Amino acid sequence: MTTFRFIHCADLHIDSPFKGLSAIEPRLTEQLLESTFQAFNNIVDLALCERVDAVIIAGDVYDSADRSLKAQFKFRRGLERLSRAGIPAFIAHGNHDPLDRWSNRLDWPDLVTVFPGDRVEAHPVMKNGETLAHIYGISFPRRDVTENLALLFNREGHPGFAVGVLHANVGGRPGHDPYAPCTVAELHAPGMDYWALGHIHTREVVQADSPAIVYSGNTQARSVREPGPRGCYLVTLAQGAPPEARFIATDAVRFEAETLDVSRQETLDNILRAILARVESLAGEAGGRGLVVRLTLTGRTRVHSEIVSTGGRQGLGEEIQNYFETSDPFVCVDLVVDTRGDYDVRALGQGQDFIADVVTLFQEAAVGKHPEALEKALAPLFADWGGNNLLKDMTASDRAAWIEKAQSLVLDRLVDHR
Amino acid sequence: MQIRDIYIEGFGRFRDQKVGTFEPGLNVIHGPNEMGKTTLLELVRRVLFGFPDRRENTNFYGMQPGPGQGGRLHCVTRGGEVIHISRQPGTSGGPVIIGTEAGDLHGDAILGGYLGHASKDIFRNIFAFTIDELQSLDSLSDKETQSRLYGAGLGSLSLAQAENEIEKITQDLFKPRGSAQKVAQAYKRIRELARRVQEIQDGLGTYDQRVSELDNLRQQAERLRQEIDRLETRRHALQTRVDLFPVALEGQQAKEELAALENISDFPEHGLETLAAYKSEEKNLARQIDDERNGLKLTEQRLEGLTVDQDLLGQETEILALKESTQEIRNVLKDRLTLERDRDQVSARIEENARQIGPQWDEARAMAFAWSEAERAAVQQQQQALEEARGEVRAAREKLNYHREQQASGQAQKPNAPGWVALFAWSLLGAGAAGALWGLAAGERLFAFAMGLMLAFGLGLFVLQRREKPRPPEEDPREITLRQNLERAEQNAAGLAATWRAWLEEKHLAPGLMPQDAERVAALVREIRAQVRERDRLSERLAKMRETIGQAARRLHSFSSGPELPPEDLPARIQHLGQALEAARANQRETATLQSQCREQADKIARLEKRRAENSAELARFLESAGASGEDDFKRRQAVCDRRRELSVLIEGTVRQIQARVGTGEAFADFSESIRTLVPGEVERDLERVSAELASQQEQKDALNRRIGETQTHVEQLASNDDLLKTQAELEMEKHQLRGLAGEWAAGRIALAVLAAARGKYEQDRQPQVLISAGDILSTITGGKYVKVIKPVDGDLVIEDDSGGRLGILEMSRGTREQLYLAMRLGLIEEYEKRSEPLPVIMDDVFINFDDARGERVVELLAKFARPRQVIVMTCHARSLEIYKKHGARPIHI
Repeated sequence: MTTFRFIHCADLHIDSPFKGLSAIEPRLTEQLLESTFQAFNNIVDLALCERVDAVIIAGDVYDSADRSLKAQFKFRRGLERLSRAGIPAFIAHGNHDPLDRWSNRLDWPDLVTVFPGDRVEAHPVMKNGETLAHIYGISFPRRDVTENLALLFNREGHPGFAVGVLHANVGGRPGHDPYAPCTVAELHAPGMDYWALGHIHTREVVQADSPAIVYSGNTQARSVREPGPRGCYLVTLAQGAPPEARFIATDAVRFEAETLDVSRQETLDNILRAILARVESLAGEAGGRGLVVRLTLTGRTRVHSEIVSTGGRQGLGEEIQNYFETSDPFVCVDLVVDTRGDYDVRALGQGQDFIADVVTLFQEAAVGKHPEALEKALAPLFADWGGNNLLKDMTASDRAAWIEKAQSLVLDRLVDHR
Repeated sequence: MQIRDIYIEGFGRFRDQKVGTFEPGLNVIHGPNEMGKTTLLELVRRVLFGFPDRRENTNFYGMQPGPGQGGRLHCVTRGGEVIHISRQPGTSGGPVIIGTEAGDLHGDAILGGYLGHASKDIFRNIFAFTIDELQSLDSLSDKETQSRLYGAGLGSLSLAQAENEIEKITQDLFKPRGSAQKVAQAYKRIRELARRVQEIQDGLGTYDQRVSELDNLRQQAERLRQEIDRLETRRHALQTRVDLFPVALEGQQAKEELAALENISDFPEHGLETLAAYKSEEKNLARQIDDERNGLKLTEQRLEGLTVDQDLLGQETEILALKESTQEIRNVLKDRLTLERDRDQVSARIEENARQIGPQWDEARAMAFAWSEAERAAVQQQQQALEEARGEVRAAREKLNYHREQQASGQAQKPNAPGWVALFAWSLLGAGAAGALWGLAAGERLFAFAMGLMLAFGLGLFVLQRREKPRPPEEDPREITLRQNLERAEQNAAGLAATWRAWLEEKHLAPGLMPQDAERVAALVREIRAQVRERDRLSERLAKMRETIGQAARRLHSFSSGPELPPEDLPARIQHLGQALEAARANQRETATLQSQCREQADKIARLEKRRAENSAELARFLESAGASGEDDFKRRQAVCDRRRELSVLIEGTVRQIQARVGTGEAFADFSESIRTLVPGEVERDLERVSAELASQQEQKDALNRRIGETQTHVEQLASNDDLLKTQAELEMEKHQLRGLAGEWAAGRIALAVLAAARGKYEQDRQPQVLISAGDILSTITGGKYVKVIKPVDGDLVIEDDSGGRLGILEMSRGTREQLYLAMRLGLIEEYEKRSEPLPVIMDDVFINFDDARGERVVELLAKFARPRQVIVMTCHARSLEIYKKHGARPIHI
């Protein structure tokens, strides 16, 4: 029975900076910066180990159109290893690395195919003189591709399996740029056996069969907003059998975002112990990788004031850092304090006094009342300040968080003093 | 609860007095000053809430603990129950009794129930107050009053502190035009990082362009290199011509000079050196000949000056023999004196020894003294017999002496009675006799008997003592024997001594000489004999010496006449003679040597002459062989040959030098030809021009290489640049920090905005009912001038006039302030009574600072206020009393 085994990966973003961290210990910076490269190397290692027939990369190899040449060289070295092992690689570029910024001075190894941006090309994958499959693909010629590229695909009667490689937003997924939009139904039409998709960073098997439509997700998380294992799919296509796609984690550094309810903890020591226990548990789950975890402390606690004080937060941070300072692989904890005092906001709001008015006003602000007053209060920074464009992307959820934090600021000072 | 009567047992100026009866509604107590109005007010306070502790600093109104003190209030509750509250001073405020229809109840807890659990402070500050308390803001500041005034939770609210804190947080984060705040600092870093990212990205965009530029530059560099190579070749050729032209010219000139010189063949090698050698040899030989002739002349002069003493040389054997004996003569002369002195000394010792033997003794007697072995034995025997005889005499004498000592000691050892015995006996005799006499005389017979016994005992003892007297000595036979023995021994010894003395006399020896000394005499005799022999030997040696000296003197005298020399001069004369002989022999030898030397020198001069003649002949042959007519001609020909050689070497050198630069064969021929056609100056100009062009091309090449290096470095940097990712990461972190800071700032500003909004809402909509009521009352009192009493959320009370203007406490007049406080108290009372037992309101002359209009309005207000309750006012003014009465107040006079 003919089988075709390949690795499907996408969104390598191999020269991307990590995001969403306010500070990183210098000793960890290098490892974090190298993580995307390392993740790609892990894929190459996997390909060599599994002796796959091909490696397919569905866009966004690089993070920025003006990617660093060093990143390209490193990427090329990985491809060279594949090529030397006789494993062909197929690359379709996405919105982050469109062809128009591709350096034409780099020569790629023999077995590397970069799909063009003006048409869908089909390239065979041969093994022992037999055509195992044809890989169809198209790259983003530029960043803002809003055309439906799926419509350009068509199985042309080539022998072997047909695998479509596309960087696209299938089904108009919210929270993602609507590049190369298409629908699942449109992916049915070209007669592919497997759609190797890129663009969505969270892996997803959109459809398991006929055809299989799969987002492999990114190979390495770059912020705590991308928690959990990241990697690629090891795909096996066999005649008469449904496609088999097995996820393999390739990330070099694991990002996690966790909340820890400390409402039952009555001392800072207990909170610290709870934090360390949770982080150690996460480190154990990271499978020998470095771990970056954003741990958000929540809940109403008697020691809320101590925690939110500068000294309290700093002290906790230092204790955590000292605890994990020598751990290998590394553990980096980004501590976010979102606890509340142990007062009952709802009860306070039901009173007839000043505090009740304060709480009521906060509740009204949280549901969108008094927008003008809010705008006016925030205007000096968010509207009038010269650098406000850096804050344009702050969202409604940010505002909700500010209102929540503002309420804590007030109630911590007024209610605790009663 | 309302008061009907006040009964005073003892308090202040009151004793067992009742004040009343008070009605519901408005009551007015009128009395002049010091009639006890304030005392009554205080009594009501103390009966209801306790007397002060003795330690408190207050007016006790003359109160003492115990009966007859305190007071009682007759009251009626809101429910109509009549109670009597009585209290006396004591601990914990004093015991309180609540008399009810059901019986007496005790304790403040029970009373508290009737008072609606109003506190002492509430009653004092709100219900029963004086003008002083009305004027004091502090009287409304107790916690409960505050709570009732402003509502729960706001009285001590630290809103301003909270606002300040939050304001400070936001100020630290951001100020619109600030640059030191965290947001501004983060923004500054972000802009810098963004600029760096942009720079790096711009650089990345130029990678392809840079690589093309690099290729282009390398091609340019290659072209330039070829051009420089061509110019280098050209410049080298020109330089060679310039460098070698003087060399070639020199070679040419040398050739021409060589051709012009005389060609001399077969000229000997090293001719000049050879000629010089001949000349030098000739000069050398001439000098040697002169030296030898002078030497010969000197030798002959020395020979003539020498003479030889042949006579002396003829007696050489004898002189040598005499010379050989010189040392022996010297020894004899030296030893002769010594030997004579030794001989004299020996003779003196012989005399000395002879005199030691005896005065008449000399050398001859000593030599004649005979001392045979038999004589020696006889003398020893004589000596032994004499010693034995003397020993016997000593022994006999010792025995006799010993015997005599023994005898003497035997006499001394016989015993005698001691003296005390006689004394005792005499004592007994005396005492006994006296006692017996006294006893007899006294008739004491027993006593006289005892004394008689004592007398008898003393008599006996006396007799015994008298019997012990010694006897005279008798003749000792042993003494006699021993004495005889001694005499015999002495006689024997004397005989032997006489024999010895006879022997001494025979030998001519001293009569006192003891036998044991005879050996010494014999020894002296032996020594004298040895010394005589020594003296004879010395005398013999002296005779031989005298012979030797005489013989030498005689021989010397045979060589020279004159008087005989003293022996001491002999060695010097012999030495002088020896020296004369040596001088004669030396002259003889030198004469022979000089004669031989003269002969040798003459031979040498002859040989040198011969060699000089040969050298002259060889020189003439040499000049002839060189074709020279003489030495000067020879030197000229030699100079021509030397010059020809120099020119040949020079020509070869120039050829080699040129060939080293241009090569041999055809290249050399071409170069030689080009040199011949060369125009001096033109080549230098060509060279200068080519060099300038070359330098220019080199500069271009260097510049190009620098650009290639820079471009190469740039390309490599672009290819290996890690900065982009790092800087982007830093930028992302900074952006994230900025968002965090912005969020913190936003939270702070929202908090402040909400607090401001809440503050406004509170002041507008959420003033306590007390203040609303107080505002209405104040409006009534002030005739509508002030319409509102407002308590800002975190500030002091203000009153607001009808146009919205606000006035703080400190800004009010005293009257207005008192009216405000009165209004607040009335408001509080209304508020209080909604939930609690109403209490009587008692005011002590609190309106004295009100003007007429407001005073009138207050009384009217009070009358209305008192309708549902009981109000008791106190005044000392009759006019006020009338006003109160006009408004229906019940007057009570004290």
